[in-house]
Amino acid sequence: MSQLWNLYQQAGADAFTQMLCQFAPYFSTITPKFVTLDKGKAVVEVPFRREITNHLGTVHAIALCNAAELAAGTMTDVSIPAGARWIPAGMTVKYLAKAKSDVTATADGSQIDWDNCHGDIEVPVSITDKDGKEVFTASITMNVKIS
Amino acid sequence: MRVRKQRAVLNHLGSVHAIALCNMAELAGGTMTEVTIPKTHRWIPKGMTVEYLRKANHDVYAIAEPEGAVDWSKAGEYKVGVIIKDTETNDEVFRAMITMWVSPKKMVA
Repeated sequence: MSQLWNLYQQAGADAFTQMLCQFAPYFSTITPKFVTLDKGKAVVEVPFRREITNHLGTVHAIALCNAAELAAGTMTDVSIPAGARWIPAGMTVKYLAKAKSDVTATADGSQIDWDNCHGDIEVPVSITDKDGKEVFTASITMNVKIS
Repeated sequence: MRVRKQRAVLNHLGSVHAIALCNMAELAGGTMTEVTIPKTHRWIPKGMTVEYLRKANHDVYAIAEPEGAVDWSKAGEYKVGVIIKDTETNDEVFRAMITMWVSPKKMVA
């Protein structure tokens, strides 16, 4: 598995998240917490805080996008073949309901053939609130290059 | 609107983070919608599709414009196109199509 996965295993979720937010500071705006990071699956929790609310007092749409990008990006990194590279090419998101609580973003790569992926792949992400209600979905296009 | 390239908005590559560009697009698109639609109407974002075209290596600026005509007599989708450019190279680095749901405000008795 990838260096990122090794780091996650060795450092643990909290220290891993801190290091990741040092490398890519914009993720720190949502104070994420990893629950799962494995080949084909990543789960990230985002606590409800005033800093990430919109003018309606609910979690800002772009904070949800940030959680989706984090879950999908890290999952892609640990799932693609060794030596392969990836970069996000775009995404389509849907705001389904107001997010009024802590939220959980799940990137589900179970339907992706990771060992043979090359070119653009679509990574689905779902975000749910504390009651399990889906508030957001995304399909993130990752461009994978096998070296 | 313009955003300065500073550490807080960076990714692991040292360029402006994809989601910071999304945030700019949402701010430019949302405020443009607010001042453009009739006072009798309200709006809420329903979704968006974005494309990352290049790395954003410098300060960036966003331009938001409505796409197509709207029938204000009923509730419906209002499409907003946003492009983001690099202020130094003038290259387009990002493009978004935001779907707003626009509806007449409820009358308060």
